Amino acid sequence: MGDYEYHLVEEVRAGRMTRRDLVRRATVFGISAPTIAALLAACGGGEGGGETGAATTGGAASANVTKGGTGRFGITVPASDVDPVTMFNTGAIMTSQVAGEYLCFPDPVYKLDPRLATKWEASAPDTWTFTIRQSVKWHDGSPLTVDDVVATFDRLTDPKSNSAALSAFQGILSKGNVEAVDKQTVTFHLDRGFVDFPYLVSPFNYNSIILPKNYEIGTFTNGGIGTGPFILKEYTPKQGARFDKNPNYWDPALPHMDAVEIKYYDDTPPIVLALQAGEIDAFPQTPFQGSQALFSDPNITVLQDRSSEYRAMHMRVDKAPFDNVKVRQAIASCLDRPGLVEGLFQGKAELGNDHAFAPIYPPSEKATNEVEQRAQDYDLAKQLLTEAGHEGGLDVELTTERFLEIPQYAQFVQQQCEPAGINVKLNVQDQATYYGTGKNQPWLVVPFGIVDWGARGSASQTIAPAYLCTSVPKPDLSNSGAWNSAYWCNKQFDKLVFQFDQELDEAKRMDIAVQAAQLQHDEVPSVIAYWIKEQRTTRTNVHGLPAGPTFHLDVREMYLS
Amino acid sequence: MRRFLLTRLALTIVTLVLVSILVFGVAEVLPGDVGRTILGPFASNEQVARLNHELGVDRPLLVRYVDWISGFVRGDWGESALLNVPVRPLVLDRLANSLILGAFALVLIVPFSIFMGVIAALKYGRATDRVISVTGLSLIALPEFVAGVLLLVVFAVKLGWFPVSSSVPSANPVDIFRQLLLPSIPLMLVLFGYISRMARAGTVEVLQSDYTRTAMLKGLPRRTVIWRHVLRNSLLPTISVVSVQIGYLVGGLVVVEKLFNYPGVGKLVLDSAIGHDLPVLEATVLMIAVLYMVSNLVADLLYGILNPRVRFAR
Repeated sequence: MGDYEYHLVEEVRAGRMTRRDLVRRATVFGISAPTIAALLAACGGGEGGGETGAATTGGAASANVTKGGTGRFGITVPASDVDPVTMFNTGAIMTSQVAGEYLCFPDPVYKLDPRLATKWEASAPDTWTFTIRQSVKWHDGSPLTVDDVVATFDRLTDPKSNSAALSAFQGILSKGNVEAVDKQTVTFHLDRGFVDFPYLVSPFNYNSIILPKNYEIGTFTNGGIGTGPFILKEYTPKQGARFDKNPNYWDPALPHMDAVEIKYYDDTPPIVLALQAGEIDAFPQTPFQGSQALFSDPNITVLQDRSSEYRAMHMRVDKAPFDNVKVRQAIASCLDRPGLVEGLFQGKAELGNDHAFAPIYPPSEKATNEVEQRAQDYDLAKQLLTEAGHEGGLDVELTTERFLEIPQYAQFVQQQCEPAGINVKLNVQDQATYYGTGKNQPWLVVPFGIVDWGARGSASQTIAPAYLCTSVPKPDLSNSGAWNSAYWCNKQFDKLVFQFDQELDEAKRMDIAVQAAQLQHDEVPSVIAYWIKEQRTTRTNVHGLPAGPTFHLDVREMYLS
Repeated sequence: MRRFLLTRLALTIVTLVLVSILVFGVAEVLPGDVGRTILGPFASNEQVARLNHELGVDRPLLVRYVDWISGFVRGDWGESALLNVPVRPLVLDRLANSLILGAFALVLIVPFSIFMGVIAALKYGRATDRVISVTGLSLIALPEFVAGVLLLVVFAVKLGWFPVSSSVPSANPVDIFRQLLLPSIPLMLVLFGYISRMARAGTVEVLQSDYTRTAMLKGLPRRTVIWRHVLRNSLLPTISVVSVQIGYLVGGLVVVEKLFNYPGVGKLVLDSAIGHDLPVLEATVLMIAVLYMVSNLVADLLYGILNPRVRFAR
């Protein structure tokens, strides 16, 4: 048993960590399944295994898997060409994930499953070594080598390329710092310690699909590129894609189906209808709004997965009246969060507590339990307003986008702020207008606004673009990836997050998370009222498709009965 | 007649050039650029600027326009930077799909609407007239997506008679009806209102005119009066309405195309405008403009055939 493994066992024995967290944490560190079982046994009590692979349609491991058939997916049309290096929207990402593979893949509880890497370990928080799976073949029959892996990350970190992952790797991995040690080992020399690094070579950093070393950007849709369970055979822009089974897939037992078909749709209603009519088998990213008809349909299985997707209602700390922290706290104290979760999602969301340590992230457990949950308290809100010099009431304008449940959320905010004497005027814009481009990005300018944030794999990924001093936008909005829309810069918070990123000791890490979360909770740069549970819907004859994480598509174990 | 055609042709070309300049100008005003659309929100400004430079979209407007139009007139419609495919087959395919759907709807609905409109006029003021007029008006007010969703839920999801997502049909008549009937009904509902009302109004007017009264009074059978004198005159305004609607049928079907997932040209216009995909936007808008003008020209010619006054005035 290595030091780290021993440490994990100690944490569980001391009750500072649950068995489930041990499993998740251990997988981030590339500890193999037999070792994890041994660790759990060492912890004593209960049966091993913990809670893994939470929600999957049917039992993937069941003996009577039906082979063959075509799995048909309805997904949102990609706005531009599908290419793993440049892609950023869900349609393109899901399309690529059918043919391409990552070093590792998270399951619905964010546990990392080895794929093109068989194991990984950190000799220090900034030095990560991955062992690459041997005898994997590209779709054209040539073997996967460590050079392909190195080239993939050099391409993604090349500032002169069109890589969409540059901002995700910024300050963590630079070009040329991935080293091929031998024929099966690759070492990543990071710019700084980053304990959650394996998530950056998983779908949570979706561009990190491993591609051949001679790959040219823009050629992916020609087909036949990747190592994945299915081979892209035909791609029609804006209409769909067709994949055939990869007969040489490295796991000879997989995939179960003969083919995969992806159909692109512009809007939710046609996908809902197509699933109800049985023209598609699965709708991997089912938004709650607009899909309600599916949730009560007897022919449909609804898979649900906790996630780190959320809405940030920012209050610019450099603009009156929000420059006074009491005003921010007052607004946060007006919200009836359980009411919002019920009213907007019929309960399909978790409570938010105005800090970025989402309950799903393994090291967030202590922060979730120990930072006191903010609840609706009008007396407190009025008192805070009086202290801030607004005893006569306050008029503010809330700007936001027409997207999913957000307009209704804004209306709830308006209603719930009124009893405290806060008059909220709503300004709901269409999504493109609200985001804008270049120097005109209203969401980064308005003093009080709501914006949607997608799910990430770790707290750092959620925090880095939105709550650090380095992510405060410049006056002309020219610094890219700087989305701290509250303009909140707190050196102490930054320091804590930095420590959090390089702390290998899990107990200390959780303590740091508590401090950082408490700080953010008290300062309230943004109200984070809920963490959305994501839905995935399929026909009832679909089995073996994981519920998540989020929209990421792992189709190799899916089968149709 | 030949002079008339030549003038019209010259006018058409001038209009197309103006339209193409306008599209370029409008696209310039729209916020954003193609580089940002391709690379997405996570790319740095330097990356976007470099890509825009590679694509040549950072050159002056005039240079880009001249570059584009000189290629276009020679048949080189360029590449879509956004979709990474040649523009010409993409646009022509989509246009053909839209034409198929539009033609199907037109062929079914125009004769029917005219017939109902004329019936309403003949029963002017009576219950039949009221029913037809009120139905037509209510249908205009019914948004396409409401009608479309209703049809889909009943006939595709519950009954399963039609596919939910319509694809381009093969030549088989059964397949044509199967694929196109459902998406064309919302269009027909809208068109029915317009066309039947025009036919009714035209017919009512003609029925009250002096020459109809004369024809009646000189003892011609009612049927002959209607066929020879009334219809021929009353259909004139209807023809112009139909020709105007062809533009809508080809370019304005975004809602129906989205709902039925039909690969038509309307969505392509919208997407390419949002994505700053100028070569695709120009080609689609110009093709729609051409269609629009051709249908107008046909309408004018038909007008001339039906109305000798127009014919001889030229």
